[in-house]
Amino acid sequence: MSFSFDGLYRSTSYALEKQATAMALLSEQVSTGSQINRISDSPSEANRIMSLSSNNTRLSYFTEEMADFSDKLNLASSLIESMSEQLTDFKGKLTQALSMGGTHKEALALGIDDLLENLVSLANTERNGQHVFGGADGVSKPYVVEKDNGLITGVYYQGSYEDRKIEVAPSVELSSVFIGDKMFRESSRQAVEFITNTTGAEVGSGTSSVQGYFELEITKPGADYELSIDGGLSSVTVAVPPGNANTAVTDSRTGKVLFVDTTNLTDVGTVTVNAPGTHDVFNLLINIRDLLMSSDVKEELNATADSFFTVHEKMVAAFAVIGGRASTLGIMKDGYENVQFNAKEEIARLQDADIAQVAVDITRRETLYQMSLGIAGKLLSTSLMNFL
Amino acid sequence: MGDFSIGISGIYAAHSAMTTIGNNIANVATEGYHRQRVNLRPNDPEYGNGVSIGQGATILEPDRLIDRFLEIAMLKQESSNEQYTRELSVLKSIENTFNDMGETGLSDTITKFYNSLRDLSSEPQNSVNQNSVTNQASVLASQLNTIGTYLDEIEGQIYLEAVNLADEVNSLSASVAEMNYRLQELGIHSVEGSNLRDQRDQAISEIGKIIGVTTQPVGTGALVNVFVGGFPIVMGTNSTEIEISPVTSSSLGISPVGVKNYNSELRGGKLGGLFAIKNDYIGTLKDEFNKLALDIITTINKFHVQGVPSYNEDTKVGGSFTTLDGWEMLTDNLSEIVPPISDGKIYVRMTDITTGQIRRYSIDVEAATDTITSVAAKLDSIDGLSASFSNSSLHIESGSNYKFDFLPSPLPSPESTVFSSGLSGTSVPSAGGVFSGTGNQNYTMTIVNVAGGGTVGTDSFDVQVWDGAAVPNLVGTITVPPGYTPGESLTTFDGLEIGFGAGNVVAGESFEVAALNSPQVTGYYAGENDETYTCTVIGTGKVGVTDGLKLQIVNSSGGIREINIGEGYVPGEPFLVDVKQGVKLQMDFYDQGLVDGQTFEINSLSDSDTSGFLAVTGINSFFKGHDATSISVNEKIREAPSLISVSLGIDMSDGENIKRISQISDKPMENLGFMTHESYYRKIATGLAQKINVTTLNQENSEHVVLELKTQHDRISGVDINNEAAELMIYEQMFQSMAKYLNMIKESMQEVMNIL
Repeated sequence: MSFSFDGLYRSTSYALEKQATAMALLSEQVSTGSQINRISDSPSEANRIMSLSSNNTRLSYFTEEMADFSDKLNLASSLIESMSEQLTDFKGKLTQALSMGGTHKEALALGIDDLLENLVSLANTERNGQHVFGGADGVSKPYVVEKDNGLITGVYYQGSYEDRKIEVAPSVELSSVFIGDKMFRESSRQAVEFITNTTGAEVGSGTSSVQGYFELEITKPGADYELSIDGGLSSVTVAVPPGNANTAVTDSRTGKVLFVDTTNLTDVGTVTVNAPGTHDVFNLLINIRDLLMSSDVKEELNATADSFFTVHEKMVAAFAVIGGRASTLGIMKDGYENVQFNAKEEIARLQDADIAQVAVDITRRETLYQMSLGIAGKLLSTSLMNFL
Repeated sequence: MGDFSIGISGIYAAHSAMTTIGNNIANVATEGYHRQRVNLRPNDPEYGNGVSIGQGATILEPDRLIDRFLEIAMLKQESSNEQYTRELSVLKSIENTFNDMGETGLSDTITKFYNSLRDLSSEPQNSVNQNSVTNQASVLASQLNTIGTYLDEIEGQIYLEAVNLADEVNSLSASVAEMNYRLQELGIHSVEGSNLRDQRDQAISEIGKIIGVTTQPVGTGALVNVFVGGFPIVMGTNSTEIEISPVTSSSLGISPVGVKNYNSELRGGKLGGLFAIKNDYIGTLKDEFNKLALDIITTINKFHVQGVPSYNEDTKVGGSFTTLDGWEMLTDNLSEIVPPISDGKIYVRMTDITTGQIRRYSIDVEAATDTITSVAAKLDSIDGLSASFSNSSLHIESGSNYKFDFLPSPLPSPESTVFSSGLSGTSVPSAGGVFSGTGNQNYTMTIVNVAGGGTVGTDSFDVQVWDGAAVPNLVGTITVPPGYTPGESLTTFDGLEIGFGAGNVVAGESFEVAALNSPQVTGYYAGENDETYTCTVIGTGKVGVTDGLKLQIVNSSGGIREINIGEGYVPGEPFLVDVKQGVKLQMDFYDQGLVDGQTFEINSLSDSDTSGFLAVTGINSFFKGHDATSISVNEKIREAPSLISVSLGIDMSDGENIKRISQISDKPMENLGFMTHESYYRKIATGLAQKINVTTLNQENSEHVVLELKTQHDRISGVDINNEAAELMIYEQMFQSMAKYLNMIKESMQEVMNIL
């Protein structure tokens, strides 16, 4: 069989090109460590890798979100723990003071403002520009302190009552904010009580929305009585008789309503009102302070102390609940990290080059390359022309 | 002297044979050369003395060793191979721009963009998160731009290259025609012209590498006609030039110059490869890519236009708008705008800053007949709003005491309804509007001033409005004039509206309207369908006081819930209207109380711009553009990321809008064959990769076939040096022998001469 020079050259070139292309590909695999460097290297596997990679990026967000949220929970938990510790200390002193004399009570009362400042400061803690206990509106300071002559007269929640849920995992949404007024306030509303009352007014049968301790002022500037629960900023007028079994007295500042039975109203005066099960820890402390400074208020003080203990217990319980949530989140995060890890492993299995195999392949290709060159050289050098 | 003649013929034959062999060896590396074989023939013998004696040898025209079928097959396969090689080269360069096996590919970028939106939804007022969204969006837009622009550029390059290749074809076809002419001339002198034929065939082969050709031998085969796509480019000794021109925006065509009959189905050769990419693939790829970009733009803008930037109570920044500007539009006609606008409604919420009253207005958009100017005029007709289309962009501005937005969530106060009607007339009355008066009111509407009765829209009649006092007071009188369109809302007072359906009314008859102020609606609505919650009071009494007072809530699909709002309910305590949605209702205490049967409606929208007009004209949209090359982040949002419409709720401080935008990432999109944005992109990328693989396979196959054919071709037409050397030895020996023979003849003759 004859072969032409041109044919010999072509087949050698073809063989060399094939080997060189294969070696270039193998060399790329060695340098990148990947056997799939572009989608066309293996479309189906590349699709799987892209899908896994995209899912991993998505899961990375969720695990970071979980980690961040977990940090937030831990911060909230430690803030509550810190507040709780201070309140536990105060609780001990209060229990002691309740059984002791006036000087002890006064001494304890004098320290309450400092405690309050401290507690409010903790309740107003910021994290990444967001207030931890401000509800959905994390920008505004959740608690403001009202003072009169340097003495704290009220602590008001101005944060949001709106919750905000975030997706911490695919299709798993958790509340991402803490509403301070729910965390530090009792949530077992009971019937309103009139504590000091000489007016003949009684609690209405309607469900009042007022909270904590406050005063109902009953005046009679003319023929009719006027009732106010916002320090006279607004009032409701009622003619007695006949009066009204559910006279709605509204706090113009908060919109909260107190239902008063005025049918037996006989006199003007100031009624101290208690809305049991709705107290917040700050105003309870203010009340305790005021009661400790007063005399002959043992029953009131005991009742207030009981409310205080209830709120404290709620905070302690919240501390455990938040800790539990953090722990659950940690478990969930571990689970997603495992998923991510498995996905990364699969990506590596699909994409990573088997370097040993590549080395063997390169050697094989190199040998074939040299053989092609050698054979072509032999064939081209051996010619009948030499013998002419 | 015959002996000398024999000798000379032998020497001449041997010399000619060695010349042919020399020619073969000289062309051993010449592309397209066909080996020539020495062709000797014995001379005719001479007869004498009863015997015939041979008279030496004659050399004929050397044979050109060629297999016509093989040549045709090679021409075709080489053409295919060039086509696949060129296709592959373009496809690989496109794949390189996708760069999706790295960590900066578009697939990852899409995911990161949606992750940044999720991040923002958790802290909608966080400026770091806001910046992150605009940055990720810019990266996404930039990557789409890069690929989109590259696809556009590559189309331009393909056209230029095709034009250059057509020039090459023209040059080669002229050369073929010229060689045909020379061969024709040689034929006249009975000269084969093998080398010239090789040159001509090689030129045809070169044309075949550029463009798919067919050949047709003329007569004995000295001349060859060449055809491209059915039309001749070489006919005998004449050639016709071809030209390339765009046929449509996405396809090229080829035609003989001046004929303008363009063929877009051309295959074979580099030009065929370019045609295959340009006419059959790149347009589809671009369409798919632009479809993805457009879907990202429209779906995100659709939600974005409906939301508002988060309102910051401290800085008083965010919330509803006082002014919004669209971007520059190329046309005023809605029917010419891309992406298309459809028939639909735009709902605008207007907030009166001084009274706090919020009202919702709607305008109709008709895609076929409206213009931006006419829609602006409709918006302009809304109380407290002005809109115009000037300097090619839409401008919307509220009056000094107003703000506006397009929130789909329910209004903070419910809408008034008719709750009691005992009319014998066939016209059904309706009520609406948000009551801004004091307390809860039951109005009694009495039809008067129409003797006996009348027809709505034809006869004039009045409606007396009486309040709900123990001794009712006449609050006002509304006139329903002739020409009134049935169903049209008539404004009464304090935001209350009434209307009458088609039919007749009877004088003296009354119906009751509940205008309630105490229920307050909060939260947001993010449902996929419009929803109306009809709330009906069960029992008569006061909120938080009366035992058994309830509120029945019925949604549009008939689902019923009953909520205690009497004794035990804390007035003002919000409760969910629909457990699946975020709409909340709180019933405040009002001394007037509620009456059994009073109803009010809470209307929530799934989409406050069902036409898509706002997004397309750039009103509060996030992305700008309509395809991969034009997509960009709205400049205003890029400069001030706090303008991102994150909120959807009534109090405008939530992150629900950005949350539902982030959830687009998991949504199967109808326009994308129910695939998510990320999976649709992967489909495009893997589709390209699969095309590369198929083309690679075709290219390798055709390359292999070409190699096989060339090997076969070499066996027939190739020059084997060893063969040639062997033959050379034979003819050298022949030459030497004939020389010796001549010498012997000469010596013999000398001997004879010496005898003389």
